[in-house]
Amino acid sequence: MTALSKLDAAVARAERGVAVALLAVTVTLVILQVFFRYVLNSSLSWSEEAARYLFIWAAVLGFSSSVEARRLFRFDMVAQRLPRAGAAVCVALYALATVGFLWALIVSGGALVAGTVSQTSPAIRLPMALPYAALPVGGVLIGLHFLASLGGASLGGGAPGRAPHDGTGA
Amino acid sequence: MTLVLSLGFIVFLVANVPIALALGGAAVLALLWEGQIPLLVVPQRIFTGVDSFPLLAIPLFILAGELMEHSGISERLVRLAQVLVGWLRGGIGMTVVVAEIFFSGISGSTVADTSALGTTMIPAMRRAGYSAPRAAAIVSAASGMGILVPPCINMVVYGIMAQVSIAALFAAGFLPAFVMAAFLMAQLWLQARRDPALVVQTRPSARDMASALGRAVVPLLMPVLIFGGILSGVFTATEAGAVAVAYGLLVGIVIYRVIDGRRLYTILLETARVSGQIMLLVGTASLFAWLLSSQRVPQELSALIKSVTSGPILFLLLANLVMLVLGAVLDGLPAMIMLVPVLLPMATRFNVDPLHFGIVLIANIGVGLFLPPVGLGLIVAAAIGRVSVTEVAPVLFPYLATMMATVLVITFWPWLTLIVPSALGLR
Repeated sequence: MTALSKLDAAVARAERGVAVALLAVTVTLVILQVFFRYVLNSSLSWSEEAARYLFIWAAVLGFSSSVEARRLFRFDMVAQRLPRAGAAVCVALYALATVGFLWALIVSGGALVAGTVSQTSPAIRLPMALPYAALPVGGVLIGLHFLASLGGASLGGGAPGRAPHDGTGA
Repeated sequence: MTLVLSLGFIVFLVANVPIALALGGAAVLALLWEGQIPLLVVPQRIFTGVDSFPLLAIPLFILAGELMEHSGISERLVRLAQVLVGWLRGGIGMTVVVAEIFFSGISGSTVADTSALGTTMIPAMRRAGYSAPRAAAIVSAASGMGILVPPCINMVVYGIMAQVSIAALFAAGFLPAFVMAAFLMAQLWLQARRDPALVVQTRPSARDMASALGRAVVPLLMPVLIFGGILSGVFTATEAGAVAVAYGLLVGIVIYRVIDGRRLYTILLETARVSGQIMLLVGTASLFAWLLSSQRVPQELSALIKSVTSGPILFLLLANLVMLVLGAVLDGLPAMIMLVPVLLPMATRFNVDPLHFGIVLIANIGVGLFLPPVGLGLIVAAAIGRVSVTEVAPVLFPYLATMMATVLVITFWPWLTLIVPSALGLR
C-alpha cells in the first residue's frame, strides 16, 4: 500500500462516518420540525435552515464517498467496447473533465467562501462561508480519491460501469 | 460557447466520465472558452441549485423506503396482492402489478422496487410454471408502471427544477399509473385466455384474505400517512418524508425489531451516497441550464420545431422519443435531470402545462428503464431471474407496446393527468 492509498482509505473512512452522522442529524431535525409544528403547535425558526446546510454537507461527502467506492452514474456502453488506445483516451478525458470541474470548485469555491465570511444566514446567523465551504472541501476530497484511483488499477476497466443496484435508478 | 458546452458534455459522457463530472467539466471548459463570465458562477449556481428545503424530501423518501424494505415488508405486500387478484385468470402476473402499486407507494425508487419485487415474485412465478423470461418480463413491466405511483424521487426532482408543486405531481401520478396498471392486467388476462399454461388459479378462503390484510396493515399505513397528509394539504412533501422516516424507524426498530445500529449505519450511508449523487447532478444541471438559457438554446430549438409545425404534437412526439431513449441509456433519473433544462422551456413555448409535461417525462423514463438492451431496470430483473436480456426481450415487447400506448394516451390526453390535482385544489 502506498502512502497515497493509505491516506485515501483513512479519509474515506472518516468521510463515511461524518456523512452518516450529518445525515442522521438532518433527518432528526426535519422530524423534530414536523413534531414541533403539528404536535406542539410552535414552529421552530431555525431547523429548516440548519437542515438545509447540514444536508448540503452530507450530500457532498456522500458524493465523494461514491467516487471513492466507484459507484457513480455513468454511460459505459461505448467505452467498454474500445481497444486499449481508446481506453487511454477515455482516462485522459476523465482527467480533463475532473481537473477542470474540481479546479472551479476549489479555486472559485474558495473565493466564494472567502467573500462570504462576514455574510450571515437569515435565521441562525451562521456565517455563509460555512455552508459554501462544502464545495471547495468536497473538491479536495474528490480530487484525492481521483488521484488515488489513478495510482491504483486502471481507472476505466477497474471501475464498475454503472452504479450497481442501490436504488438509484429512479 | 454552446458548441463547446454541448460537444464537451457528449464527448465526456461517451468517454465514460461520471455524468455529474461530465456536466460540470463541460460547463467549466465552455466558460473558459468564452472568457467573459467568471468561474465564480460554478460554485454559486451549484449551491443555489441544491440549497432548497423541498430537496430534503429525496434522502427522506430513500431512507423511508430502505427502512421498510429491510423490515421485510415485501412478502406481506405480495401476499395481500395475491389474495386480491391472484385467483383471477392470469392472476399471478396481476399479483405482480398490484404488489408493485403497493411497493411504489412506499419506496420512491423504481430500480429498488424491481429488485424487491423480482426477488419475491420471480421464484413464485417459476414455481407456478411460468418461464424465467416471462417472469422477468412481467416484473419489468410492472416496475416500469410503478414509477408513476407516488412518492417518486423523479417527481421531487422535477418539481424543484420546474418549480411545480411536488404535492400536485404526486396527485397527478395516480390516475395515469392506474390506467397503465389496468391495461397491463387486461393484457395478462387475455394472454392467460389464449394460453392455458398461464392459468394458475387458487381461490383464497375468507380466512386467508383476513390474515393477509391483517399482516399488511403495518406496511400499508405508511402510504396512508404520506398521501393522507400531502393530498389533504396538511404536509409538504418534505414533511411527509419526515413522517415516513419516523414511521419506518418505528416499524424497523420497535415493531419488527430487525434494524440494529449496524444496519442503520449501512442504510444511512447508502442514502447519503445515493442522495449525494442526485444532489450533485441537480447542482451541475442547474449550472448547465443557466448557461444554456444564457445562450438562448431552448428558444432556438423551439423555433426550429415551430418552423415545421406550430402545434405541440410534433414537439411532444419528438420529446417522447428523446426521453424514452435517453431514459434507457442514462439510467432514468440522470436523463431526466439533463432533459428538464432543455425540454421544459420548450414545452412552455408550446403551451404544454409543466405539471402535465412532468408526468409525461416521468412515464417515458419509466418505460425507458426497461427498454432492451440497455435499460437498467431490465438488466436488474433479468439478473434476478437468471436469464439474459436477449431472452427476456421478445416476451417483454408486447408489454412494452402496451406501456408505450399508455404513454401516448397520457401525452395527448392532459385531462387524465390534471383532473386529480385540480379536484384536490393543488393547482
